[in-house]
Formats: sequence, C-alpha cells, structure tokens
Amino acid sequence: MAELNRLKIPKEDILRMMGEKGGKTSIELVRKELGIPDSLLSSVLEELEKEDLISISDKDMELTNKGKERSNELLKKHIAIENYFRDVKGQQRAHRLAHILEHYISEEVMKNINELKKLRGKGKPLAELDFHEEGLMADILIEDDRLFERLVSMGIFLGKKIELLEKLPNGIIVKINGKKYILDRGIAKHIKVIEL
Amino acid sequence: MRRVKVLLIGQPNVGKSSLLNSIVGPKVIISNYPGTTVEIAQAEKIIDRVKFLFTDTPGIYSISDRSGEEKVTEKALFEEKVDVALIIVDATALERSLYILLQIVEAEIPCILALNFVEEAWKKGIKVDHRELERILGIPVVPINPISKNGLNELLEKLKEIKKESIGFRIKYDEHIEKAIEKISLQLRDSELPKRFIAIRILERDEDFYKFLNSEDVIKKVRKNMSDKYPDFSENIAITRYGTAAFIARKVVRIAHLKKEKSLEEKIDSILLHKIWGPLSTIMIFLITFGILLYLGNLMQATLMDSTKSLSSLLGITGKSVFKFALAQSLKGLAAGISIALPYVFIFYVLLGLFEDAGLLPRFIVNTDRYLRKLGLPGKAFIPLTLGLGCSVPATRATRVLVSEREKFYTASFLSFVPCSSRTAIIMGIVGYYGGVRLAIYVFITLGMAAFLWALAIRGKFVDKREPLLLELPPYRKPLVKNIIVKSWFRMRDFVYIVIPLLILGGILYGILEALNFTYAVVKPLSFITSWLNLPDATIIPLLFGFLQKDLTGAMLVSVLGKGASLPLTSIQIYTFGVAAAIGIPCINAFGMLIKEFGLRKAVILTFVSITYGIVLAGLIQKIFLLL
Ligand SMILES: Nc1nc2c(ncn2[C@@H]2O[C@H](COP(=O)(O)OP(=O)(O)OP(=O)(O)O)[C@@H](O)[C@H]2O)c(=O)[nH]1
Ligand SMILES: [Mg+2]
Repeated sequence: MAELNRLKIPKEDILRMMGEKGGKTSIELVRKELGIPDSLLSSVLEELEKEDLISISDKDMELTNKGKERSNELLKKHIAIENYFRDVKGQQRAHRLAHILEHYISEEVMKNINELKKLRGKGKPLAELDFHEEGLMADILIEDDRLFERLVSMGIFLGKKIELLEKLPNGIIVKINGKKYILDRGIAKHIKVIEL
Repeated sequence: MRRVKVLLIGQPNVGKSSLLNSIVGPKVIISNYPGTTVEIAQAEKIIDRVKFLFTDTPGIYSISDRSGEEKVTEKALFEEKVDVALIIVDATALERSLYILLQIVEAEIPCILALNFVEEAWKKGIKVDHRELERILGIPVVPINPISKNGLNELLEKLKEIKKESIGFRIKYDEHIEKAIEKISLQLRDSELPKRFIAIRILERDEDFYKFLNSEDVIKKVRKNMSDKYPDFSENIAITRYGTAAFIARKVVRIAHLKKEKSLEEKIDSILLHKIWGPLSTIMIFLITFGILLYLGNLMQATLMDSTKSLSSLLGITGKSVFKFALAQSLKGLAAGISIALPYVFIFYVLLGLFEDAGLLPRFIVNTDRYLRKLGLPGKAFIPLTLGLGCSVPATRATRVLVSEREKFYTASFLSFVPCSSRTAIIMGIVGYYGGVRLAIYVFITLGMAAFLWALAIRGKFVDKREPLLLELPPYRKPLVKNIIVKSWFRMRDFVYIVIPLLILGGILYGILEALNFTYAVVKPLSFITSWLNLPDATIIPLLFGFLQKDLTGAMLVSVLGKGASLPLTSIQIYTFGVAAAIGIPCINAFGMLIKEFGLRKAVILTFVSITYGIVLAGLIQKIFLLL
C-alpha cells in the first residue's frame, strides 16, 4: 500500500467540506465542524495552500480550480455512504433511521460473520508466529463462553490482524488494532492464526 | 430544580475518572492502568439550574462480570435508576468500545457517547467521523478531552437535553437466536429491565440474570433444542455484537497508514517486557525506589523529629496531673505520626504515582506474575500488594480486581507481610535507628521469608483453579505533575484525617492509663507473650497500641523503656520486636476494611492468625538464633 501522509485525512475532510459549502468557508468553521486539533490545523492548511488547492486570505479560505476538482472527486466517493443518511435531522428521525439501518447492517454483519466462520478450524497456534510477525486470527477455540466473550469484548476477535511481540514463559504479548495485551499461554494455545 | 443522574461508564482506562474530575474538580484517583477505580464515587454539580449527580464507575469491557469491581458497575447500572449513561469511548479503539455501548443500548438505558482520545487517534492516523457515528447510532456523540476540557460544555448541554426515548441502535441476531430470545422473554418476571435484554444475558449464560426466570427449566429446554443445531450459539451472540460494532466502526473510521517506525514505546517494551531483562529491571526499579524511600524518609524524619521535639519542649508541658500527662502523650503521638510516618507515606505515594501514570504497573504485573504464581497468587495481585506498601486499607479494597472470592482473600492475607509506610517507619525508625540499618534490612528479609512460609502452609487451601492472565498493557504516557500531587494528597488525606486523630487519641488513652497506674493491669496478664519473645514485659504496650495505630508503636516503645539515644535492649531483642510488630494485619483501620470486604468472621480469623503467626515466628527465630 502506498505510504500515506498523516495529514491526508484532515486535508480530504477540509476539501470535501469546502466543496459542500460551494467552495468557500472560514477557518473558524473548519475548526468547529471538523474538530481538527489546533496542533494539526495550521500545518494542514499550509500544505493545502502549498499544493495550490486552496487560497487563504485573512480568516477566509477558498478552493482553487485544482482544489474544486479534487473536492468533487471526494464528494462523489462520500455520496455512496451519505445516501443512507440523506436529509436526516433530529433525534426522532435518526431513531427511525437507526431501525432501518439495523436491518441493513445486520445483513452485512451476518455476511461478514459467515465469511469469518469459514476461517474456523484453520491455522496454527499463535505461539508459532515469529517475533514481530503478523497473522490473521482464524479461530478462538475457547470452551468457556464467558471467557470467550471477555476476549471478544477486549477486541480479540476473529479475522483481526495480530502481531506477536514477545513470548514469555507465562504468556504471549501481542498487538491487535494498535492495543497491546498479554495473553496467558493457556489462552494463546487456543488461538489459531493464518500467516499473512 | 431538575435533577439528572448521570452514570459514567466505559471500558477500563478510557478516562472516565478523568472526565469526572474535569467536570466537578478533583474527586477521584486517575492512573494509567486498567482497573484504577474499584468503587463507586459520586459528585454533584449544579449547572444552569440543573442539578447533575455524576457517578464514576470501575471500567468494564462488557456486561459480563468476571471480577469484583465489575460487579460494582453492574449494580450501579441495573439496580439504581439512572437518567442517562454517559459512555466514554476510546477513539483509538472504537470497535471494541462500541461493543459495550451496544450492550448498554440493549438494556434500553438512554445514553450519550463521549469520544475521548481524539487527538491521540489523529496522531495515529485514525479519524473518527463523529457526526456519522451519531447518525448511525441514533444517540448524541460528543468529542471531548478531559485534560484540555474541550467539548465539556457541549457534553453538558446534551446531558441536559436527554430524553427517555434517546435509545439508539438495536442489534439483530440470527433467526434462531431471535427466536430463542423471544421464547425466553415470555417466561420472565416483570422488572425494570427490558425483557429482550434479560433474555440475551441469560442466553449468554450470565447467571446474575437467572433470577428473572420463572423457572430455570425454560433455559435448559431452549438450550437443549438449540445446541443440536447450533452448538455455539452463545458465542454467536458475542460474535454478532462485535461484528456489528466492527461494521459501524468501519463506516465511521478512516485510517491513514503511517510509516512504521520503532517508537520509543517499542524500545522501552523490548526491555521491560523481555524474558530476562523484564523481571531484572522490575526488581532494580523496586530496589532503587526502596533505596530512595529510605534515604529521603530518613532525611525528612530527622528534620521533622527535631522540629517537633523543640516544639513540645517549647510548650513545656510537664507535671504529674492526669490531664497534663495525657496531653503530653497525645502530643508525643502526634509528633510520632508526623515525623516518622509522613515522610514515608508522602515519598512513597509520589513515586507510586509516577509509575502508575507512566504506565509501568501493568509491565510489572507481567514480570512478577511468574513468581507470584509460585506463591499461588494471581498476577494481578501485584496491584493490591504494591498499594499495600503505602497503606493496607486501600490495598485491601483493591483486591477487588481479582476474580474469585478465594483469590481475593488469599491475596489480602499477604498484606500481613507487605510493610505499609507505617510499618516501614517502625522498622526504619526503631530497628534501623537503634539497631543499625543492617538489622532493619534483616527485618525486611524476614518479612519476605514469613510470606513464603505462609504461602507454603496455606496455599493448598485457597488455590484451586488458576485464573488465566489476561491483561491490556496501556501505552506509556508522560505523567502529569498535577495529577501526581492531587493523587498523593488523596491518598495521604486518609492518613491525615483518620490516622492522626487516632494517634492523638491513642496517646491520650495511654497517658491516662499510665498516670492512673493502669498499664500494669494490662501488662501482667499478657506477659506470656513478652516472655515468649524474650522482651521486657512493658513492651506489650507498644505492641498492643500499635494495633490501634501502627505509628504509635515507636513513640511508645521509647516512652515505656526509657529515653535517650539507646534502648535497654540487645540487638536481637530489637530485631524480635521489629518482626513481631511488623507481621500481621497491621491496625484497626485495616481490620475494618477486611470486615467490609470479607465479613466479620473471616476478618477476625485472618487478623488473629496473622498476628499470632508473627509473634510465634519472631520468638522462634530468636530462640534458634540464641542456640547457635
Ligand atoms: N492524553 C490524554 N490522556 C488522557 C485523556 N483522558 C484520560 N487520559 C489518561 O488516561 C489514563 C486513564 O484515565 P482514567 O480517568 O483513570 O481512566 P478510567 O476510565 O477511570 O480507568 P479505570 O478506572 O481503570 O476504568 C490516565 O493516565 C489519564 O491521564 C485525554 O483526553 N488525553
Ligand atoms: Mg477510573
């Protein structure tokens, strides 16, 4: 995957938001609506200006032609998701919407879960990964339902990438979704992974 | 005035306590490890003519309690009526944070989501679209930062507007699970909680909810019917819930893949979590801490001692009347408390706060787990035992992070051997001062040995099933000086408010007994103890009063035996006295907390047995030593 700059997301957000507002907005509004930390905002704006996507005058900002083009592309991408939520305002309707979504989401979820289930029974024990090797959790074969649920609620879930950091006599240290855990050897031996 | 009851809830270490403190001012202890808060804390605040009652709770990964502190949260959630659950969510781990949120929504409790660690997420290249999240979930979502206080006003506005109907997204499970939910729902007693929620809990084998069933036959029947065709249907509930959370997260989170570089955290962890360097560095850190503690403690003690001495001679209270004697003794008690214990308490808590906030404690758990296991202790026992170096009272309460009742009690019993700051002060102030530092170190080593023998003797009775080690290791953070100071004060506050009055009271009591010549009546019947220890009869007084308040021990020993720079005791007697005074449930406060956590019977037995053990052991060692 191409290396992405950490300013990519805020930059895209600003472009999209400006597109939605017809190409013009103020810095204050950007800060308010997008919630970009102040520490980032100035460098983001600086880059956008350097790339000739926006022009800033005092407290207002405007898209350049090149900026408008980029903004349009981004908007189109976004519309696919937006479709579901068009013209939703207020709690009541959001609530009703959530109920429609519920069905939509559960179908998708079920589809994904069925995919996940195909992974089950495959893979090798977690401890066989090398140091700093990443694998995909294919199965968690834990009899105790409550312990299984605990692992899941901690984010230790089927289909997730898992990186092995250290093997200790009492447990294995892993990283999942950027969080670190120590898993008892007794738990780790029931986690099966597929090499990536 | 309108009242709004707000329950702060969320996964461990997401900043619940930080949020409470930032809204109502410093009230609870904040640390960088999961499981800091182990009890409910409440605080009121009136904002724009609305009276908010905020309740901080221990963190829970999900509604499925495994340990004591999680039960506390569930009780707060389900047994008391709350107007709104304020769910604090970690933006860097949205997926799993949504898991618990979806569970609370299942319980149909109105909720608001506070999105914390937004800036941390940005730094990791994670962006959460909170508006989208709000739309999907159908509940208000507010980004916050408890440290800079950003977003708090908006959050309070949303809390004010909350209505009963603000109940969000509902998960739909597989057909067969939905059917089972329906079947069980029909067989439930009426209660405040929604039937669907209870039915799901029951299907997930949460026995706390079986009490809502008309008869347990229903669940057996449903399970039997299901398990033929769907052998792991309970698992599927968790999987669907997580799947839904993951799905929603995917819709609102965007991740920019940052260049992978070895961060400072990885570098530190490659040492602290190393097979060999990990345990070694943990021991080193502890020895250094102890060294600093003893060195600075001694230094402060000497200065404080001098100034309190000159103060009491300045007041010039001498004389023979009961009143004057009592007054003099109470001043002595006070002086002892301040000059002996305070330095140890204060310095210890500052150092502990540093380790906690940096995120070192969970690493220490990993490294000590292997050795604690050998004593039959679970790895997480490290936290209460470490807190025990400060004071046994909060340490006893902290045993709640453990899973089984037995584990908790067994761990609490080891607080008999962990020298709290008052006991450290006795060992250093008496044994070290009159017998030399080396002798004091022997006492510390004896405590360790005593703990080891204790484990050998009773572990068989307490350790049955081994609870697997499963722990999240938080990121390292730069400790905030302000937090450490506030925290140290909170922890010392108990010392100042409870211990110091007890010191004065103990002093008065002793003064009266002495002036009326009653001490003799106490000394005589208990002389069998002192003669076993081969100590002068009068030493029973400091030993006894020590139970009222440990810090009285030192001052009283000096006052019953004599004055000046030496005690009429041999080195071996000083050592024996130190061991006998240090082993056992230390004082009446710790005893009270034991009653609270484990009941009167267990508390009495443990206290009696541990103190007897200390006395028997001290006498025995002395006899063996004298034979050699
Ligand atoms: N950088 C940063 N750190 C935070 C923020 N909020 C909380 N923290 C830190 O996160 C850690 C955990 O905070 P707590 O408030 O103790 O968390 P908790 O949810 O009460 O944790 P438990 O009581 O263990 O469940 C502490 O070290 C805080 O200083 C934040 O917005 N930014
Ligand atoms: Mg807390």
